[in-house]
Amino acid sequence: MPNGAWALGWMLAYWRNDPKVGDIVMIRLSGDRMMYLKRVLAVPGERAGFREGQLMVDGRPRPELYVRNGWGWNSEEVRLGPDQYLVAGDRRDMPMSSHAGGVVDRRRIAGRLWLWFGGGQ
Amino acid sequence: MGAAAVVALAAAVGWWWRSGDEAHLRRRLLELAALAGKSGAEPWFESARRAEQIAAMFDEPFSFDPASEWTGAADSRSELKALILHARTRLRSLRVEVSGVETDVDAGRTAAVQRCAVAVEAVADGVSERQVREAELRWRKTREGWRIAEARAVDVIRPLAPATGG
Repeated sequence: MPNGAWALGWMLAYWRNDPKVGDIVMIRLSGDRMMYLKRVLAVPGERAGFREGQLMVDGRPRPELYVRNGWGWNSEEVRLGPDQYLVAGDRRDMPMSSHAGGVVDRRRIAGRLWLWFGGGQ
Repeated sequence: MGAAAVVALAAAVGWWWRSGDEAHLRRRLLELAALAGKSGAEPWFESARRAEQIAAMFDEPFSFDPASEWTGAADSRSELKALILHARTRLRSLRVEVSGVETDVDAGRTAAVQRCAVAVEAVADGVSERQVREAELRWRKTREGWRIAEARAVDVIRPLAPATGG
């Protein structure tokens, strides 16, 4: 999604269901005006991390067809708690330290991306 | 009946005082964001004046840790002034947008916690960068008024630790 684009989210998406792997979710900061948009990579109970840019879940590679030009991230693996999700953006052409990806609590997930429009490069 | 009315009146006065504090602290936060902003080249004395004003909003000892690559941490006014001056010199422009301000003033009206979303857009060496973070400010009431005791970035998404071995 380009910078400056407008996004519409479906805020009731997780009223009765939980986020699934592959969903693009809206992550709430204080208030409801600014949110992060991230993809769910792993769900509660899974053990996940990165090895040479490859997402590893429970010891096996999990394919990510939406990622182009990955940086080759390497991280420790974490076991996700009952209300924790591993999330990251699809743009990985930067060091892991410069990217807002990682573990987020369920209560911060406000909804699912529905559609987006506009924005520049 | 009379006692109930007194309790209700006391509660109403307490709420009114606290909401007054909340509005005041919200204004102070917006003032801080406006002071931090920079729209282009500025003379050194203007940078110094703004750094002085921002540092004066903090009450020593304090903790300032924005967890940003643009500026480091500080725990004294002189250190904070130096950090701000250094960052302002490096950056061509800086836009700070604050939203979603939530303020919780304690019952004694001597301390408050404020959370907000902050979008910072900086231009340095012709390169523009935007960061969005959640911030938490802890205020304390001093003889000079409300001052910041702690300002830090909140990790809404906790980063994974880099791999250490193998």
